[in-house]
Amino acid sequence: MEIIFLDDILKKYRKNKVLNGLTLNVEKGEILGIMGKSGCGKTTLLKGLIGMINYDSGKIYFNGEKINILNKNFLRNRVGFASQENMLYEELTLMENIVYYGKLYNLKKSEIIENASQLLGLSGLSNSKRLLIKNFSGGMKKRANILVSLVHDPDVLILDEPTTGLDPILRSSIWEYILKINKQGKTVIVSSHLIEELQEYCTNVAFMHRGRILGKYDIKDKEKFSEETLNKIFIKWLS
Amino acid sequence: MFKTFTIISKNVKVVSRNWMYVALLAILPLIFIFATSLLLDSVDSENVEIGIVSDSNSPPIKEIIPEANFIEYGSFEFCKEDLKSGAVPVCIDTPKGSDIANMEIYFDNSKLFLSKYAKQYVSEKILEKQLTMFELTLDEVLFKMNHLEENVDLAKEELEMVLSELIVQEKRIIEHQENLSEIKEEFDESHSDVKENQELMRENIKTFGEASENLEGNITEFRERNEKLRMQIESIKPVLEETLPPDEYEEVEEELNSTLKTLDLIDKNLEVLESTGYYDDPDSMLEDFDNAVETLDKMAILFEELDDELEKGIEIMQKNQERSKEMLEEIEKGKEDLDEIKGEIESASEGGAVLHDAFEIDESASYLFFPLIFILIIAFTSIILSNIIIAEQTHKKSYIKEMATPTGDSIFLFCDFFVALSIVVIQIAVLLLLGEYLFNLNILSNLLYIFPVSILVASVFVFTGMSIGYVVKSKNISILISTFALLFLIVFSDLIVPRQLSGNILRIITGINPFVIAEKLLFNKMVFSETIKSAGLYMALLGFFLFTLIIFSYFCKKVGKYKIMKS
Repeated sequence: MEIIFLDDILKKYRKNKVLNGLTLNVEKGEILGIMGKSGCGKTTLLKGLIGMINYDSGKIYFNGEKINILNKNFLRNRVGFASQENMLYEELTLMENIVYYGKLYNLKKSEIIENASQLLGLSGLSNSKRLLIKNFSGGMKKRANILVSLVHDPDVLILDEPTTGLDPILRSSIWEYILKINKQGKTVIVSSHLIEELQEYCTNVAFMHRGRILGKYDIKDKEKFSEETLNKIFIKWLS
Repeated sequence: MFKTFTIISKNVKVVSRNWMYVALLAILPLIFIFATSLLLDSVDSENVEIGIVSDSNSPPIKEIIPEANFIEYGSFEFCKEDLKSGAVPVCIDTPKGSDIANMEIYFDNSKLFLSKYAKQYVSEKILEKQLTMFELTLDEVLFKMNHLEENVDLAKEELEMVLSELIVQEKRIIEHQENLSEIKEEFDESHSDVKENQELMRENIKTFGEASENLEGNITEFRERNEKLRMQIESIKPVLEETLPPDEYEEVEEELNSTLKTLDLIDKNLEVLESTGYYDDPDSMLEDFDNAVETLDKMAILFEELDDELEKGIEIMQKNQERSKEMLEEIEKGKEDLDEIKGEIESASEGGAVLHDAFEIDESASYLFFPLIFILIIAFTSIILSNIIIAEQTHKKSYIKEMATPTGDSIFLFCDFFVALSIVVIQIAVLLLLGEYLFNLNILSNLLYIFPVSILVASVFVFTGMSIGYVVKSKNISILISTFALLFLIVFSDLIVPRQLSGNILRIITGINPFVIAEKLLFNKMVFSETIKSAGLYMALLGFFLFTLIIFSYFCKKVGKYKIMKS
């Protein structure tokens, strides 16, 4: 079942077309990896999906509902977002961050507490909830970052290069956490430039080039997602 | 509402957990205000060092300003070198024997304000000395004029007495003239009669001479007859006394005594007639008569001359009177002129323009400068603090995460403002307490005015700093621009050049400077406990600035967000 559908999206910064006729559909419950070179428009695509920017043209559908400038908060309430960098307040404790962002999403304190206890258990940060974020380790910060993105119980979690800068052990622990989240029924969209990671943990991978999706492939479909396919894509990128 | 509270609570936690804010916002301003008050209280024109070039042991300037700090130089060139290097702001060249009016004073005009202070200090002292000398001279002139006036009064009195005497004399002369005229008239009448009858009288005298030859015999005969009669009366008296009754005798005796007295009288007359002698010398009588006529002629001439002299004397008297009157008028006029000049001198000696201090207030610099320092600290804290808070916030990734939440920009704007203002309000409270208890200003009694005005001004400054923080992407540049904004407010205020001295355009700019407006609004209230006349207008202007800045900062936040999204 399709949860997000982007149709012919265009986004320009002055004359530079960052997204140029992009079309993409995201199925409910999948882990979609988006891969592309730096500057191909990945981050712009994700910012549009979380309602931070408006696309210049094209259509966005969320659960079949068309999103426009007037109902942007509808999208914001259903999407969670975490970037590769820590987006939490370092001067606050984890719990304070959870409560703060929960309130920004119009949740009641009881709802926040309920969601937080579940998420803390899932992330393994229950014992650190009273610690200031600045005292967290790199891996804890990443998990805390993702945790806070889920405080309003979104349908879709968008992660922008969540494992960048981490060692392989921490990377795998983050992916395990993402998989757990996915198992809770959340759709996950992950941008990354590490093909091995995406191959290992995603259900689908979409390749982006010059503001367009070149193709979306099912990892399990060995015929389509093969060495040959990847080579073709890389040749296209190089050209 | 609960969202607002959450954001404010978060902001407070973020700010309060950063000790640098506490140091910046609480300790530094306190140190600043104490240091400034110490510095300002030590300001005194007497501290100015004055270079003097003199070949005299006691140049006049040392007598004029004995309390000043003098640095002595051997030549003017050395003094000028130090003037250029800033070691002394004033050089006074006083050659030997020169006085206050001949001193050459050089000020270091490359240091504008120091030069003005030094000029004011030295000029004031010299002026004081000159005024003292002027007052002494005026006193002396006044003393002499008073003396002169007394002399003039005396002269006037004397002249008035002379005039009155002249008038009396004139009256007397006129009386004498009138008497003389009467006598002369009678004399002239008699004289003309004598002249007319002169010849006749001469003839009579001659005739009398001829007749007087028989007169002597007749007189002897008269005397003999008188003696006979007297003897007969004396002899008849006893007979009658015996024959007549007493009553009749008394009547007869009385008659007889009367006859005897008549006989005595005849004898005496005969003696008088004999004593003239003319009867035996008629020529002499004629000569005397001629002499008498001649004397009468001379007397007539004398009378004429006397009359003329009296007439002339009267004329001279009248002329002298006229001259005396003219002189009195002249003296009166001179006295009026003298009084006028004296009045002018007296009013000049009373000072003419008198310099007064209009208000009885504590003139210590720390007291008078407190409102300015207060505003300076509030402006500094409000602009820089709000800018730092916003710049810190917009450079955190959490700011981007907040953008992805369904919370409006206006709520964030209000919360950012509220937190920055809260910190400034704490500072305002501390500073106002310092002003009340340390500098003895009228703050607590006017708190209902001072506190809201301070909040209003601080709000304007906070939104200024916030706007810069939102719109400028680089944190360092943002703080730099805020600092320059603060500098701009300070430069176009009273701190460097008093606005009263500036031109029209600069005066308009400084007039709408929130820093200046705040100082105007608070100074009178803190120092005089009075609200300035146009307080309402100024507050409305501040309100307008605040409203404009709220809208402006909202757009700055939008622009800042767009920039972040683009990057």
